[in-house]
Amino acid sequence: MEIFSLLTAGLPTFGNPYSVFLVVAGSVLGIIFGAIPGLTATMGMAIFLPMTFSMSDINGMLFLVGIYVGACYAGSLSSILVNIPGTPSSIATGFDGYPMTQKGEAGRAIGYSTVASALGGIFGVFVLMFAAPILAGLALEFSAQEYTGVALLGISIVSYISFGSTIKGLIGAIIGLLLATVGQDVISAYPRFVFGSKDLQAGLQMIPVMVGFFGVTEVLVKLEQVVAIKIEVPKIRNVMPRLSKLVRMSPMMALSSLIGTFVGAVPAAGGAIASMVAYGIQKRFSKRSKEYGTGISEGVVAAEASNNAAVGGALVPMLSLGIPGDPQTAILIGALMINGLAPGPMLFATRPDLISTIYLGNILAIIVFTIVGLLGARYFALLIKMPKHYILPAIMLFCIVGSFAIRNTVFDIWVLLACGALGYLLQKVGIMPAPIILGFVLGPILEDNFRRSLIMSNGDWMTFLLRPVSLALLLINLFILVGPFLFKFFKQKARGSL
Amino acid sequence: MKARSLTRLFCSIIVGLFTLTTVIVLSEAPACAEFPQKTITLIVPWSPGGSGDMTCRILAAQMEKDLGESVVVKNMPGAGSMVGATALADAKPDGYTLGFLGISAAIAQYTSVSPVMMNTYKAVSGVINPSLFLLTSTKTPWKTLQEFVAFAKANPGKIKNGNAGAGVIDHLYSSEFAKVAKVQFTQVPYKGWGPSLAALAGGHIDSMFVAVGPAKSMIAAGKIRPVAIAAEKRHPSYPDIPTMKEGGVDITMPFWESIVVPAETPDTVVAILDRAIGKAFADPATKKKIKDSGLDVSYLDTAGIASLRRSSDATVKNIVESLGLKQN
Repeated sequence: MEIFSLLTAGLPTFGNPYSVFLVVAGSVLGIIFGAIPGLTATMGMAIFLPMTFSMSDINGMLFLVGIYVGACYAGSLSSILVNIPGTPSSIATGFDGYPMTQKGEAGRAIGYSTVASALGGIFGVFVLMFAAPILAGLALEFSAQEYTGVALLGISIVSYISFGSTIKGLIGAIIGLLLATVGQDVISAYPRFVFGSKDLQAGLQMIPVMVGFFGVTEVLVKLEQVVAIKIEVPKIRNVMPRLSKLVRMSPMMALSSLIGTFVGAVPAAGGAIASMVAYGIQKRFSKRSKEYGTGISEGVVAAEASNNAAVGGALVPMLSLGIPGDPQTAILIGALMINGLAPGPMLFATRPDLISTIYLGNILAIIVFTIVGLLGARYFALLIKMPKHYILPAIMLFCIVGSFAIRNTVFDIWVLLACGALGYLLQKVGIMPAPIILGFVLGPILEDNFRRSLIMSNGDWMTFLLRPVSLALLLINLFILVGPFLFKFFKQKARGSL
Repeated sequence: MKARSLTRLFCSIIVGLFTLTTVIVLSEAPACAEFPQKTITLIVPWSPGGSGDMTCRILAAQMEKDLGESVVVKNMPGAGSMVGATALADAKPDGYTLGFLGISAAIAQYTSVSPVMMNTYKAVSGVINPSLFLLTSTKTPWKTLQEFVAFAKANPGKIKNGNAGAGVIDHLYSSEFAKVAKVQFTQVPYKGWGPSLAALAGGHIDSMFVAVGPAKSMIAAGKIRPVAIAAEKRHPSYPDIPTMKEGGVDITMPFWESIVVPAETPDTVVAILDRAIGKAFADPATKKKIKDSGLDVSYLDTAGIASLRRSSDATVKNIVESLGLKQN
């Protein structure tokens, strides 16, 4: 009954055309920010945050939620079309999305990505509606030991998502981990690899590093082809996914969404890790495991269902506890605060209409991006038909603007270019950007929480084994690492006994 | 044909020169006229959405009305506000670039590898945050400061005190508290107050010294308990919570920010800016917004913030040195 009222309390808001307009406008703006490499959801929300000050609390939230949801979806577009993820959470989408484009199936890839995003997103909202208190409680139970386990899980996934050589994948991950150590560490404020520079002391920022390794590297790789003057013109057709195939994919979509929602609900984990873990697990347990990475729609669906579900997940600790799980939800909390509202259990009691409006606004934004995605797929895909000598400078420009705009510092542009050059050279020896970025994202989470665990346990390593959830996570890790060898061993043994 | 292109060239040169002159004349104009004549930039060394950012955005919106020019907030986070401080130090001392630098910058001038010292900029107005509270997890038994201190004395190092990172204000103040109360904590550093409050609410750490604003909803939810406030007076929203002095630990923890300009900025400009900031704080709508949002900041004039800065600087330097965090 209470849940029903949480659904309906916000309905009157949507009788107001201005409110509906704000969600639509927000989603479209979000799609633009998400789709352009270098511009991110956080940036879009930060730019438009001051505009919400003059709006009512409900309208302000609707506008920002629209941007958030739109951007999370649209990151996949550039991932699929030009192999440059628009946001960190769409890195995994490119694993199969871009090969599909290369095969001339860009439209189909966008279609599947849109539908999976919508279903994943709605799944996330429903979990948020029905299980927020339970999930928030679970998230609070996570301490440093469990975070360590999750981060290790992410690193283990590298062995699944590195196409080609696992060794090279691990080398990439280690490069990422090393890059993440630059700067003053959180635990002891010790400056590492700083060389007396204030900029390095602050550490390398996520956006310039990611955009450098993916964007600039990709531009450099494509430059080789410009010289060869060969423009491939793929046909865009079959945008609408086939229903029968979607039904067949539904169990994996549900699993991906579940992973996405849960990882999203853990503060600081977020969509990037969620989609990598979901993709890795789907790839491992799929019957078509070997085809992942060659351009199959299952790969796109696995990644997109989870990163959009992570939006609902991230709203769980934000709404029910007032804890921001990522920079985007931090901005949402700021927008609530400025209207005199503190997110948390009290808000559910005092302003059920606002909570309900956020849920419904989220669903409306999903509907908007579904329509834009399915109808616009043909036109988005036209982008790849554009001559490379137009498109590459434009991408480069956005990469530079985006890296600069995140902190308004020129230093971040140098980081971008350095990472791009390094990424290009590494790609030449078969070390791809994805494991590097995964290492870079997970490095601080792993290191800080590992050290924090040991501080809290007075240096006793048993702390990782004595906590049930931590132990379970470590066992899953063990299984991921030795599982494939065990399977092989038992298979051979079974064959031998015959 | 040739004559025509020559004429065209001549014309464009004339137009170009004319435009250039106009631009120069227009940009020179403010020097003799009343400040301000163009957009003012306020550098915020924190990410968008945080309490420092929100405070600045509320103030900027109100200052615009008084100054008649727009005040743009520019986020430049990093290195305990040193990234933003550097940008301010490099700015022209004409009052068109302001910074929002406070006690974190005062700390960072000792903990940073390449610091911007506080004497490179001067304060226009103080923006005083509410004092820090001692919060405990409701999973712990301590309800009063006396109980907390008694347990800490009997069990040195048993209390796990969370902080927002090594060298961050609450790390310094909680260490100072331990010194004054003659107790010992195990300090557990987190990255910011969000994650550390989550850990406190989950009972993974026992205590924290933190501004009460971000903890409000979790106090209301019964996950976190305020025990004492480190101020001269009790907090109006929590009149039942005693000050630390009342509880037997004589310590205050001033937590301040300030709007600053490069040191060479003329005093007349500083006075105009200070007046605008003072007016913004006095505006009833802004007052309500600041109170409702839980930011709860209050205004301090140029002379007041200058003396607070001096005393804070000395305190902070001592604590940083005793913790072995000094880098330069």
